[in-house]
Amino acid sequence: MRLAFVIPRFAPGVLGGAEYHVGQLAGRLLRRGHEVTVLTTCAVDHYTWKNALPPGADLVDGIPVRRYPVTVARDRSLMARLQTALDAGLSIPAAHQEEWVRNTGHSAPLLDAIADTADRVDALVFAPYLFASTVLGARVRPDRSLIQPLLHDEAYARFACVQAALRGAAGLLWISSGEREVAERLIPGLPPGRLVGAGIDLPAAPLDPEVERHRLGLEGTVVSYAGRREGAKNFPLVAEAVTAANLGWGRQVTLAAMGAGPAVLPPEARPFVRDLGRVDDAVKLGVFAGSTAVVNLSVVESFSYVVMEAWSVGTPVIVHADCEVTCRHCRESGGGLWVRDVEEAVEAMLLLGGDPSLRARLGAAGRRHVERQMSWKATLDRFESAVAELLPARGVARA
Amino acid sequence: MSEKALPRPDSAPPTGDTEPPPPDVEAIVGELLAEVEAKRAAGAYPAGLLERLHTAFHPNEGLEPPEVSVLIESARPLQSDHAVIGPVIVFGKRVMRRLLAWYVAPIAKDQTHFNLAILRELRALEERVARFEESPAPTPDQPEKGHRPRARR
Repeated sequence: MRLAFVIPRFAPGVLGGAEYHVGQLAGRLLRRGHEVTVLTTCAVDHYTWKNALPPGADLVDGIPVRRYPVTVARDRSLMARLQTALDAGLSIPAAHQEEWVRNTGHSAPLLDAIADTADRVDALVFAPYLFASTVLGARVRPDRSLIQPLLHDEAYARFACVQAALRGAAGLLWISSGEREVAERLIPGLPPGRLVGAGIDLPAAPLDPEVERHRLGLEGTVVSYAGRREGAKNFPLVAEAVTAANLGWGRQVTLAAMGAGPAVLPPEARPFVRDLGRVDDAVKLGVFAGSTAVVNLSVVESFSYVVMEAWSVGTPVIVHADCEVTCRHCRESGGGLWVRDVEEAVEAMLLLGGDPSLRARLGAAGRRHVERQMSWKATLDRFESAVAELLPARGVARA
Repeated sequence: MSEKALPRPDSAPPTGDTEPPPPDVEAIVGELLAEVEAKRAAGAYPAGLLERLHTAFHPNEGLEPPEVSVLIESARPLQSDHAVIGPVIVFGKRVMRRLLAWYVAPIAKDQTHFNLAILRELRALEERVARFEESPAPTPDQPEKGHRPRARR
């Protein structure tokens, strides 16, 4: 199978769920014997979209990459105004929606490359749904375009141009059933799709939960968080619940917070939050293993690798009741609880902290779910079937 | 392919006799929520602390009506957390504020005008919607009160 993935940024050090997912998928498909190329821009920063890398061919973790320069310089003033309106929950006119998209790394040469590549591959696979490379790129050859949206309920999913791109594609590849439900609710008339999921590497051997606790000096009930420490991910609610558990319930609960960027918190929270900053995967999984629960109260998730990683080491999760995706993961697996506010979050933490047997049962159920549903082999099998079903043998022009 | 859950891969181990059923998380969450509701009703939670924490952790949450924040002030209280050189820093800020006032004050004034205009329109719209909601439902041969056909743009 010949595949071209199209993603706005793809380089070592570029962090983000979509980039991670596409990197994993592309690399593993390549090692399965498929012919895989990644088409992307020269940008690294998704705020400035400056051309930071040279155009042309590159190799990232063994994956052939072709980069094209961003040709629409970001209009900072316009984007600031549009973003303010969007963040305030206002809708913006369709023309401005198009402008917003054009300001997310639009590359005219990338569109030319998509046109050139379309007849030489079995599928063009675009991800994620909201950037110019997908919204404008999937318009070039919709008959060959599959979009992996990685979508959640946010303003961009309501943009007319975004919805048109999704409707126009030959097919959609969903990473979770929750994602698909959200998309079908927001966007009527979607093309056929297939649930592909994503893979998680299980640790080769069970992790000793005491290793990282001892090394980091974590004591008592520890809950952990990994990801961007910002309001958009509901991190303040996690810290608020931990602070309330200590100050209001009189229980010793520590939040081990991992992720990029500073964890900006009110003074009340600081004694109860261990800011571990960016850590490598081994440390993250070790902290997860030593935690009562991994807490992810974000309501904007299309999959949540963090939830799967927690389950991979047998730790239950606490998620937000308003996040359809993570809630559905918990319902399907039995590996976590869902809460909506501080009191519920505190009670959930204390319930799991005070009942090791319940914690173990939930964690084991989560791990079984990952073992069965989230293996890379199963994910790649589903991906191959999805491409074959959504774009049945159209004949590939050989170069 | 299942529409609700990921299909089980062929390689997945069959559900064996020894495997425990997954915990009934719906029931666990149901009990948890019932307990929270009961404690809330009994006033068992530290309401004052929770309110204070909520304000501290979500400072930008719009709890006030927009009328309260319609006036944009160009001058804010000046302070410094630095114990030793704090007064010097505050003095420096005061000088900067004075030097930039000619530029900042008109912008704040324009913003206040805009806020007031928007708020007036919003309140007028609210009144109009309320009137519609209070009026009896229109009959098929009687158009809605206040209905005016508008040209499509």
